[in-house]
This record gives sequence, C-alpha cells and structure tokens, in this order.
Amino acid sequence: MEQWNHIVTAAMMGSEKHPFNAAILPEALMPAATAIQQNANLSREEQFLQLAALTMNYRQCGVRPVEAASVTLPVAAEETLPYCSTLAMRVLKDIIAEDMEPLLQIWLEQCTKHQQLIHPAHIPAMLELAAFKKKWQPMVTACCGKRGEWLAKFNPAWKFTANQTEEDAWQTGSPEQRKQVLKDQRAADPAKAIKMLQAVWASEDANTKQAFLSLLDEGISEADLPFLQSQLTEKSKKVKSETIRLMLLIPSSPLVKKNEELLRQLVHLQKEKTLLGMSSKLKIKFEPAINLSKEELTELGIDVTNIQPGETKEEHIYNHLIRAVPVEFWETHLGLPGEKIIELLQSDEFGSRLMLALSGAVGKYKNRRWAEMLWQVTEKVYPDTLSLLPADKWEEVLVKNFDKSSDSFTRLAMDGEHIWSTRLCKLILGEAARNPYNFQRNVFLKCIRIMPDEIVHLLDEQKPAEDYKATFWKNTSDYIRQLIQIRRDLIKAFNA
Amino acid sequence: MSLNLTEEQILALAPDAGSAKSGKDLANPAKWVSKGIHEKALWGECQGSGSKPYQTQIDRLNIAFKCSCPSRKFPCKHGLGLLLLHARQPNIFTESTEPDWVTAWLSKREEKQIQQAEKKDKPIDEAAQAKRAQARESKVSDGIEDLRLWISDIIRNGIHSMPEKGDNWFEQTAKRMVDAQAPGLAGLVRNLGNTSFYSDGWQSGFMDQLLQLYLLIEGYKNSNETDGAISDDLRLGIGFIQKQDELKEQSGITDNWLVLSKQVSERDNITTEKFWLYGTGSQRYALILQFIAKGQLAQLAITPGLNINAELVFYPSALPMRAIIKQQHNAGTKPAFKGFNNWQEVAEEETAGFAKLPFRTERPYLIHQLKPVEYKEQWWLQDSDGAMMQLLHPNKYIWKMLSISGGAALDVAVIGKEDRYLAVGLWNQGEYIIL
Repeated sequence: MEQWNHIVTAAMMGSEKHPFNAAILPEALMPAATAIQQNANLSREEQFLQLAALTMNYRQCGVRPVEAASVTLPVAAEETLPYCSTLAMRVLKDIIAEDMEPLLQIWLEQCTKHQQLIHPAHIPAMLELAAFKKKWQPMVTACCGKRGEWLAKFNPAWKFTANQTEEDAWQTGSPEQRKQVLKDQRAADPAKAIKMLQAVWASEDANTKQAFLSLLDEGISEADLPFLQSQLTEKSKKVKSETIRLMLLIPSSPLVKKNEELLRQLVHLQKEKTLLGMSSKLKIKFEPAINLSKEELTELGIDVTNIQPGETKEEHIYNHLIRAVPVEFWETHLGLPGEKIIELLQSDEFGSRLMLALSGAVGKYKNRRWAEMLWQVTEKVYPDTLSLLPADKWEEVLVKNFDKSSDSFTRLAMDGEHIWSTRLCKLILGEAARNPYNFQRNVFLKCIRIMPDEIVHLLDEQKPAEDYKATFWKNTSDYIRQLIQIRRDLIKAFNA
Repeated sequence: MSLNLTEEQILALAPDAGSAKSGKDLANPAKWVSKGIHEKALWGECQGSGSKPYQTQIDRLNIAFKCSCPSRKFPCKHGLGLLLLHARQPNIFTESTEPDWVTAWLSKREEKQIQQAEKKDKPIDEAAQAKRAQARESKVSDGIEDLRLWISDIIRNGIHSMPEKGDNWFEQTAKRMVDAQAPGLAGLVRNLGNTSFYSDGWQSGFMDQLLQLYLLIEGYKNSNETDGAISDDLRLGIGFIQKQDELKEQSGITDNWLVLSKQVSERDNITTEKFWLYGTGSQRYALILQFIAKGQLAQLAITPGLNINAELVFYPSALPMRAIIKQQHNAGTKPAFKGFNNWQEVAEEETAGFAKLPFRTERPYLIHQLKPVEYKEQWWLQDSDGAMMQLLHPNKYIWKMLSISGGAALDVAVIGKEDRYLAVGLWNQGEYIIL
C-alpha cells in the first residue's frame, strides 16, 4: 500500500527534519486525518503517530487476496505401486532418528525389492537425505515413486530423481546415477558396458574415467583387453594405474603373461639328494631376480623405491611377481598339485617369506580352491583369503585362532560376510564385554547384516570383570537388542 | 472416547528430543513388567535401573501423567514410552483390572477436582485491595507518560537509527515499564528491540509494533470513553492480570476442541507454550498459553492433532481468543469441521477483527481446499477461486505440504494476519497432519 510506504519513509527520516504531509492519505481517511491535524493538544510527533496508526488500520482492514487464477501447479501423476505399510514407515522413522545407516540401506533394499513406496509425508526427508548421501539416490528415487519425481521439480537439490531412461541417465545423469547405470549394465552385459564407455570416453575427465574403470571388476574377461590396452597410453597416472590393476585380473592379458614368463625363468623345481645320495627331495629354486634391469622392472610395474621395512629388494621383486599372476600358474608351471607347492614353499626359507604374496594372489584372483588349500596345508590365517572360505571353514579359522589374538579375530569376524554362529557370537560378545570401549555401538551397527537374531539371548551371559565397564557394556547390549528388534520389524514389515 | 494419539502426536508431547528418543526405546514390551488399560487409564510398570520398577500411569480422560521415577521432565520418558507402546501394540494391553496404585491416583485426582470446584475465596480486605489498585494505576500512568515521550523521541529523530541502538537501549525502557508495573508494555518494548534489523523491510514491521504500542497506551488513557470489552483488551495489553480463579468461576464453552498447533518460545528462563485450538461444534478458535519456569513441571499436556472435550473460558475481550481450560471432560471425538471457504472470507473476517481490535496479533483460520502454488519465486496458498495469500516461513514446511498434496487442494490450518500466513496443519484422508 503506497500510503503506508509514505508513512514508513517519513518515520525513517524523523518528524523533525521531514514533517509528514497528510495530503497523500486516502480520501476515506481525510475526515479523521483533518481532525487529528486540527487537534492543537497534540505534538507534531503525536499527530504523526495517530495518522500512522490510522493508516495502519486502514491497511490492515483492506487486505485482499492476490487474484491469480492463471497461476497453477501441475498435479503429480498417480502412483502405480503400493505404499509400504505403517509398520515399515515407523521403522524407517526410527532408523532415521537413530542415524542407523546400515539399517537404512537394508530398509531401502527391501522397499525397492518389494516394489513399494514411501508415504508422501516422509518423501522430502528422504530426498534431503539422498541429496547428501549419493549412494542412496537410485534406491531413494525408486522408493519415492512418482510423487518424489514430481516434488523434485521444485527443488534443484533433488534433481537426481528426474525420471530418465537408462540412456538419458548415462548421458546426462549425476555421477552417481551414471555409475549405477554402468554397474547395472556391467552385471547384465559386460561387453555392452564397454561399448557404453567407449562412446563417451573421450569427453570424460580423469577422475570420472578412474571411477568408471573401478566398476569393471565384475565380469572382467579377455574381451575387455582391447579397451584396456588402449588406456595404457593415457596421460593420467590414476587411469593408467587402474587400467594395469584391471589387466592384472585377466589371466590372458599380456601383462600377466609377461610376469608369468619371468617367473618361469626365475623359479624351478630342483631335486636335492639326501641320505648320502640314497634318496632325493624336491625343492623350489629361486634364481636371483636382483639383476633385472631398470627397464625390465619399469615395464613390469615394479617400483623398487617402495620396499617395505624388513623386506629385501629380492623379496620385493618376487612378492610383486607372485601377486601379479593367477595361482593356477604354479600348478601348470611346476607340474605339481597346489598342496605340494604350498608345502614346498613353506619348507623353503626364502619361499616361506613369499607366502603372504601367494595368499594375496589367491585373494586377488578370488581362487576359492586355493584359499581352502592354504588353510588345510598351513593352518595359518591369511586375511586376504578369509572371505573366500566357505562359511564352515571361515568359522573354523576364526574359532581355532581366536585365543591367539581375540581383538584381531573379533574384527576379522566383524569384517566378514558370513552370519555368525552361536559359537562365534559367544566369542565376539565375550571379547566385546571384556573390552567394551574397543567395541562400541557403531561397530555392531556395521555388523547388522551378519548378526543372527539369537544374539540377543546371549548378551546377558557376557559381563565385564570390572565394575566400571558394566554400564558401558549394558548400553552396548541394549543397543544390540534395539538393532535386532528394528531389523526384525523391518523384515516383518515387508514380508507380512 | 478415550485418548488415542498417533505416534507423531505422542512424540510432540515430549519435552525435548532426548525424552522422545528415550521414550521410543521404552516402547518395547520387554521393558514393561506389567501393563494394563481401561476406559479411564493406561498404566504399566517399567523396569529401570533400581530394584523396584517405576509405576507409570496416564489419565486417558483428562490427559495427565504420573510416574514414580525421579525425572523432572514432563511427561517423563516412561509416560511417553507407555503411550507409544500402546499406540504400536494395543493388543498386548490385556489387563483391565487397575492395581491399587492406579486406583489411589485416580481417586486423588477426582478428589482434587471436587475440592477445586468447592474452593471458596478467602475473605478479602477490599479497602486494602482498592488502595493497592489505585497505587498501581498511578504507577502505570506514570510509566505510560514515560513511554509516550520515548516513542515521540523515536519519531522525532527517525527510526533509521534504531539498528544502532542495541538491545540494552530497549531493555532499559522495558525495565522502566516493569518498574511501572506494566509488564505487557515491557514485553512489547522488548519485541521492538528484537526486530531483525538486518532483514530487508524491517522498517514496516517495526512501525507496526511501535504503533500497536502507541495505540495501547493511547487507548488505555482514553479507556473511559471506550466500551467495556476493549478496555479489557487494553488492560491485558498493559499487563493487568486477569485472575484465572475468577475466570474459572464463569461458565465457558464446552466443545470438542482440536489442537491445531503448539508454538514454543523461551525468554529469561521461562518457556511459553501457545496452543491454538478450534472448537468443532462452536466453530470458535482459542489460544491457551502455558508458562513454564525453568525447573518447574508443565501442567498441561496437550499436543497438536489431539481432540479434547473441554470447557474453555475466554478472557474478556472485544475479540475473544485467549482462554483457559476450565474443565477437561474426556478425550474428544473427531467431528468434521466447518472452515472458511476462500481467502475472501478470511479477508472479511480480518477486516471485522481489526475494526474491533486494531492492535490484535495473529490468529488461526481453517480454510477449505487450498493448493500450494509457486508465484514470483514465493510460495502461496491458492483457493478454489484462484485467489492467493503468501505463506510465511514456507521453507520449514512447504516440502511436506507439497508432497502430501501432490498438487491437489487440501483443507489447511493457518495462523497469521493480513496477507501472510503460516501453515501449521492440513487434513489428509480425514487425518489432521501437523506440518
């Protein structure tokens, strides 16, 4: 209202310097304004205050809504999928309130799997969460349905929900969306994923290239070699190093072949006579590798400036070479079964120092047969191979070795993928109860996928020896109970 | 009908986030040694860290909590936990015979209500009372003259210098008003000092408040010439207290009241809770204020979305809005409501309101079929005729509102005045949702 603006302007200046001109007031106020101005008992300031109060009330009483029938908002499309249950929503709210990310991941997986939707009132909170946690964007998008997609049109931070075809998402989506498309494509059709990459490769920056390459482990094969080899001329060190890592995963790649070739020259079987020549035994002979030229080492990607403390240069080179070839190579090259090769390596002073590299190759090439052989022959724990063991063997390794280093084995169990047996639960809880400050709530939260429901019945059996730890452990126990209860409710909510 | 709250409503009762979290943890059957329910009460025994479980009980008719735990919070986590557990799993509350401790508490509450009803005022020394009143009137008049000069000085010198004055400048005047036994004026002076001088257009809001202050003191001075109702508003604005006991002697309006919103603010260790209510039968709006000093327990436990059947007595006013709960009979039903049909009706109501009480503040409205729309990079609510009013502080709730509406029209509860309104709740499939 214009007249009100004049009042405010006059008030800003002050009545002393700029007396207010009442003539600008609306016609309707004139009789009252004149009466105020003619009241000789009022000071100039009070006259202004009364005129201003009059105008304020005129303004207050005369407010009308803005007529704008042409302003419209598009209506959201009808959902085609059902909403999740009230219980599922309650669980979701609890998970968010408690900041339990691993459980939120499970919730979103379940909701996506059962093709259900989040209730509209909670969609903004989920979109906001996903705006900051990019890894959840694809699942949150799916769970927020058409309402989420519609809502995101009004908030640029939520643009990741825009309904796109896979092709659109690959061409114009957010980095997370593009990674998800590539990941899905790689799982469905590895060759097509490479073609997708080739089509956009020239326009991507080094970081994106590296991120895309890191998703190619799944389904890696000889067919990927032409594309990978073309990346060896890349300027970016990151891209080149990721390419080499991938090529080393392909047994037929020239890089692996080169390493194998060198190992063929350096490592042989040798018969040694014993018992005054009456008998003989096999031995693995390692030729000196120290004499390799600088060029040869560079070609193989061996960096001799990176020698670990306690490691000789010779060991460093052998460790690199052994890690870089699939373990089956040794069976072919030496013509012996794996068990025998492990035994020979173990019994050799130099060979035994290369066992960790061998276990590294087992882990890298995900050779489950060799992982089991390593455990059977050596009965030693090689962390790189633990995840390759079947559940019973994995547990056997942990249980047998638990007392040697209960802290380390508790952590190994927590890093594993197998669900804990009752026996393992007892050992882990025992360790956590003895050292509650080392195994706090968040440690167990991260293990929510591998903790069995029955763990709640075992909690009371464990108590710290020291009184001062009792309260802390009780809090952790209560938290574990809460985690299991929420997971139970979550599963029930989507499977009822 | 007994108390039946949704989880959201129960959590809104929590005095702080920690209590809400602890309450949720206790909404677990394993934590409760016993639990039971009947029409009047909900009770349970919660195993805490002590040897004896805490006895928690909730009056379902008059919404009150009691717990034997030592917590100073109200309601405590056990009360919240028990309510949440009942909301989640009502079927596990199979016990219906109340234990002795519940009987004793309910009887005591009933006795107290009867005693309050029968309470007679002590004999009053009317001469002394009149003398005290006269002395106060004189002090207030002096304070008002002081304030008139202060306001005149501001107008003479211009409000452009206000941002540089600092809190202390306003506080000194506020203190003089407290000394003059005019706490209402003191509060308004403090509000002037709280103007957000860094935001664009602060001048208009500042002038509004300054003129309201001026209207109050000028109106009070001339109150003999005005009608009785507005002089009550003026006296209340100055800070004369209307005794609640006196109000309770009057008959009120019994209705099913829906709690539309709760607004909380804190100043000088006193928490002020504003509850906005709507009477579904009388179609009247009401404001209940609760003041809680630090360390004291709140007396009133109502939450947005709750329906209560209660008798409310309004403070005398030209435009009655502030009220007290004289008697709460039981938890109310959820009858349909009749709100305003469009913004034009609201504007007319506003005009009528300002005509009666020019210095009034915001009030609630229930309006049918409003759509959130975006116009000139602002959020508005548009009625079925295409007329719109702008939303106040939309960033706090617009996304939830939009998401629920999906672009369709909904019945909305707003609080505001003139051309700016804060949306506080909406109806979705018959349920009132707090925004």
